Amino acid sequence: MSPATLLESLGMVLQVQVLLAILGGAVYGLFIGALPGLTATMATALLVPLTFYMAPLPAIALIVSSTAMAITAGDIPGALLRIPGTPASAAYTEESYAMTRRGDAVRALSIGFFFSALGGLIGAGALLVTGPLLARVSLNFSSFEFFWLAVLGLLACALVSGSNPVKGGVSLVLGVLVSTVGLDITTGQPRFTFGSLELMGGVSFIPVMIGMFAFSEILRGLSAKDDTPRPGDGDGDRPADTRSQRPFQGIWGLFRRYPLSVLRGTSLGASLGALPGVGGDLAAWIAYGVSARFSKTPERFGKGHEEGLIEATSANNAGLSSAWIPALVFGIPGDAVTAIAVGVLYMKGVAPGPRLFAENPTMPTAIILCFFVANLLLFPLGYVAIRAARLVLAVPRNVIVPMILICCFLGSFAINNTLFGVAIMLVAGLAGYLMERNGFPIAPVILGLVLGPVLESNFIMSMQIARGDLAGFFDRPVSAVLGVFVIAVIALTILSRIRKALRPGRADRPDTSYIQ
Amino acid sequence: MIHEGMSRGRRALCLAGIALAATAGPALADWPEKAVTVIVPWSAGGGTDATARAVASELEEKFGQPFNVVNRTGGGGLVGHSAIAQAPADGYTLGVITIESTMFQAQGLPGVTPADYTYIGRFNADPIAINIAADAGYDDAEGLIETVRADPGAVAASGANRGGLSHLAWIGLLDKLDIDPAAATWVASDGSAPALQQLASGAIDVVSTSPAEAQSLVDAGEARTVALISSERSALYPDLPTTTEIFGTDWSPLPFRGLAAPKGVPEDIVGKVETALKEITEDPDFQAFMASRGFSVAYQDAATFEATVTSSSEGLAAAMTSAGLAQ
Amino acid sequence: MRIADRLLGPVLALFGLFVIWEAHKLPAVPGVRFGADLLPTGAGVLLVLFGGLILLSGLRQPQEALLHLDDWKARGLNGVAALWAFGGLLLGMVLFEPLGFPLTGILFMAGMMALMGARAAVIVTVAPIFVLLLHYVFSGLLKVSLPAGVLDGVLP
Repeated sequence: MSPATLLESLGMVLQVQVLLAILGGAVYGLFIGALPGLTATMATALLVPLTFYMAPLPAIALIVSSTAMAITAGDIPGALLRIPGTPASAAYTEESYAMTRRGDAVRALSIGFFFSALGGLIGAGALLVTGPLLARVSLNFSSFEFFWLAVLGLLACALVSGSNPVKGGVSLVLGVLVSTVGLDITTGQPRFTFGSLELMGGVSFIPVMIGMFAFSEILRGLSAKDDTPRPGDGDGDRPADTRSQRPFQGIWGLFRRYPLSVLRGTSLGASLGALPGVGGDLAAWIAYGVSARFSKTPERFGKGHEEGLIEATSANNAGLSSAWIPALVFGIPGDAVTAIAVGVLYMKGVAPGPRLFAENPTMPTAIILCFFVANLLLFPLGYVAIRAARLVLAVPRNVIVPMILICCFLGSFAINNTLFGVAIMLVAGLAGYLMERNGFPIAPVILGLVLGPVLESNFIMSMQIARGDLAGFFDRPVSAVLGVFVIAVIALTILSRIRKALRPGRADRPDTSYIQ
Repeated sequence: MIHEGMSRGRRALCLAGIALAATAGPALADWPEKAVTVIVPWSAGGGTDATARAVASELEEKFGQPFNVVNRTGGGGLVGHSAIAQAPADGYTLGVITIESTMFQAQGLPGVTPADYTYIGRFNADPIAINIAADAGYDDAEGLIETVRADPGAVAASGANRGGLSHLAWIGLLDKLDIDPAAATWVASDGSAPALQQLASGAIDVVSTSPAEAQSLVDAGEARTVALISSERSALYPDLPTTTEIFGTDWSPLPFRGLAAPKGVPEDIVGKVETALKEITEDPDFQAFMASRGFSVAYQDAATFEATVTSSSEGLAAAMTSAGLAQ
Repeated sequence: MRIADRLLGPVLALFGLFVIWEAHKLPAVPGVRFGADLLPTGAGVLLVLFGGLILLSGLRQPQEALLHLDDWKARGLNGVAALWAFGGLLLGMVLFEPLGFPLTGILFMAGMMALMGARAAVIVTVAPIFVLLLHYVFSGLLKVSLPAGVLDGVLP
C-alpha cells in the first residue's frame, strides 16, 4: 500500500456524497438493527434498488456503513430485551442481559458500541496492510480446514455452557438436530420433515433465537409473579437503570484493564472473518470461549462480566470488515451481505478480483476506509442510541412486555414472510422456558443450529473428496496442523475435567445460579 | 373461477367485473390497485434475487404501485416455488421461477409441478460452464474428459447439491459421452461459492457453474473456464467454445429466470405484465444492468416460455432417470 | 416445570434412540461412505450418552420429586396474562391473514396490556399507535408484505 494510494483513496472517501452515504447508511442501519428480528441481510437487500442510481463508491459506502451499524445495533435489543440480533451476538447476549438486569444497561451498551467500534477500526487498519495477503491465505482453506474450524467453534460451547457441561452438551446437540431438518444436500432428499413442505425449507435461526431468548424470558417473568400487578407498579424483573451513568463513562478504564482481550478478540475476528462462509459467525463464539479460558476470573462469566463481552464484541466487528477481503479479492462472498455487495460492485463496473487491487488499488482501499469512517461513526451514533435506549428501560412493564411480544411475532414472520416462522418461535419459546428451568443453557442451541450445517457439509464434502478415508483430514498441511491443535485442545480439556473430578471436596451439584 | 369466463369474450369479462365490483372485490380493469408481492425462491444477494429486484423496480415504475420482493428460501428453492404456486390467483402475488421448478417432480419432491403456474415471460437464460483449476494437468475440456475417462475417480466435481442443476448438467454431459457418471466424484456443496472456494484451494478439480460466478477467480489466475455446456455460444462470452462444438453432443441444459403467477390468474393481468416485461427487457438501462452482472437478457413471451419449460422439464427428467437421480 | 434428573435422563436417552432409528431410515447414496444419516446418528448417540450421565447424577438425589410445578406462581389476571402471551399469539396466527396485521396486533396488544394491569387510557392510545407505526415501518418502509386484512385499502 503506497502512501500515494492511501492519500488518493482518502480524497475519494472525503467527498460530500460519500460521507453523506456513510451517514445515511449508518442511521438506517442503526434503525434496522435495533428493531428486533430484522437482520443486516434484509437491511442490505433493501438498499440495492437505491444503489442503482448512485455512483460506485457512495453505493458501496452506503452498504458498508449500514451493515456495520446494523450488526452492532443488533446488540441493543440483545442487551435490553434479550433478543440477539445475529447468531454471533447470541454468544454474549446472556452476558450483556445479565448486566442490564443488574442495572448496568448503559454500561453493557457502552461496551458493545465502544469495543465494536474499536475492533472494527483495528480490523480495518489490519486489512489495509494485510488485505491481499490475507485473501491469498484464506483461498487455501478447503472443506478439510473448515471442518476443523467448525469443531473448534463447538469446543467454544464447552466454555460457554457454565459449570454443567453435560447439560450444555445436550443443548448443543439439540441445536444440531434442529439444523438437520430440511432437504439434505448430500442426497437431495427430505430429512426429518415428516411430510411437511415448510419443514423441507429447514428451520431458520432467527425465530429460534427470538423464541428461546426473548419469548421464554417473558413467559418466565409472567409465570413467576404471583399477583396481578397494579398500574404504576415498580418493575421487579427488569430494574430500571439505577446507576445513572453517561454513555461511555468508565470505558477507557475497562480498556486499560483488559487490553489483551481487545487485542486477542480483534486478531481472532480479523483472521477468522476472512474465511468465507464460516468466519463471521464463529469469531465471536471462539473469542468468548478463549476469553473464558484465559480469564483470571472464569467463574464470573455468564453473570454480567465485562471481560468476555469486550473480547467477543471486538471480534465481531473486526471480522465484519475482513469478511469483505475474499469477496473483494476473489469474488467469493462469505455471507449474504457481501454477496449483495459483490453484486453491487459488478453492477457499478467495479469487478472484484485481484486485478482490482493491481489496476485500481484506490477503490478497495477506499472501501476499507469507508469501514474506518463507519466505525468512527459508531461513537457518536452509539452515544445517541444509548441515550435513547434508556427510554426503553423507562417504559413500564405492562407496556413494554406487550410491545416485545408484538415484535417477537413480527420479527419471526418477517424473516421468511411466513407464519411458520411464528410457529417456530412459539415452540422454541416453550422449549427455551423448559430448558432454562431445568438448567440447560440456551446459547449452545443457537451455536449448534448455526454450526451444524457447517460441520456436516464440510465433513461430507471432505469425505466425498477423500473417498471416505478419514486420514484425509491430515493430508493437507494446514488441515493437519489444525487437526492436531483441535485434538490437543480436546484432550487437555478432558484431562483437566478428570483432574478436577478426582480432586476431593468438590460440590457435585449442577450450577443453578442462572435459574434464580 | 373468473379466468374461465375471461376467454369467452369481453361481455363475460364486463359481467364478471361488475359482479366482482358489487362484492367489493378489486375491479380487474384497474390492476394493480395495491402493492404486488414478488416471491423469489432464492436468498437475498444471489443472482436470481438481484435480477428479480431489478425487474421489480422497473415494474413498480411502470405500474405506479409497489412491487415488493419477498425471499422465500429453503429446500433448494422448493419452498418458494411452492409458495408461488399456492398463492391466491388474484394477480397480487407473482414470482420469479428458475429451472429447479421443473426438477422437483422427477426428484420425488412434493409441492409443485410445472403445471401449477401461469407463465408470464422469461427474462434471462445463461448456460452453465465447466471451470477447472488453473494448475490442472490439462487446459481444455477434451483434456478434462480424457482424464475422467482414463482414470475413473481421479476427478472430483462440484457446484451444487446432489441433484441440483449444476450436478445434472455435468453428469448429463458425461452420460452423453458414454462415461459412467460415477467416474467423476460429485462433491455435494451448498451452491457455487463454496464449490469455487474448494476449487481454488485445490481440493477439487471441476466446478460447473455460470461463467459470471467464476469470473473473478479466472481473473485471479486461480481457475479457467473451458467450455459452456450448451449448443449455442453466449453473446457475453463469445470466445468460450461449447460442448456441442467440442464433442458433438446434444446436451444443452439452460437455466432460466422468468416471471410466473399461480395457476388461474386472470388473462388480462398476465397480458399486462407480459407486455411490461417485454418493454423492460428492451430497456437499455436494464440491459446494461444485466450485462454488468454477466447475465444475458433472453426474453420469451408467455407461450414460448411455457413451451421452453415443458421441454426442459422433459429433458431433465430423462437425464435424471439415466443418471439414477430420479425417484 | 422442573423435571428431576432421574426422569429427564431416560427421556433424553429415549429421544436419542428415536433419532438414531429415524436416521437409520434415511436414503443412502451409493458409493458414499458418510451420508445424510451421519450427523443425526452422531447426535442421537450423544443424546443417549448424555441422558445416561444425567440419570446417574439424578440417582444421587432420590428424594427430589419427579415433577416440580412450583414455578407457576401466577394467579388471577396475571395467570391469564401468562396464558395470553402464548395463546394470544397462537390466536394471532389464525387471525393474521383474514383480519390483517393491524387489527390482530391491536387486539392482542390491548388484551395483553389490560391483563397486565395497564390503565384504559394508556391502552387505547399506546396499542393502536404502536401497532400502526410498526405496520407502516414494515410494509411501507421495509417492504415486508404484511396483510392489511379488513383494513385493505383503508391504510396507506
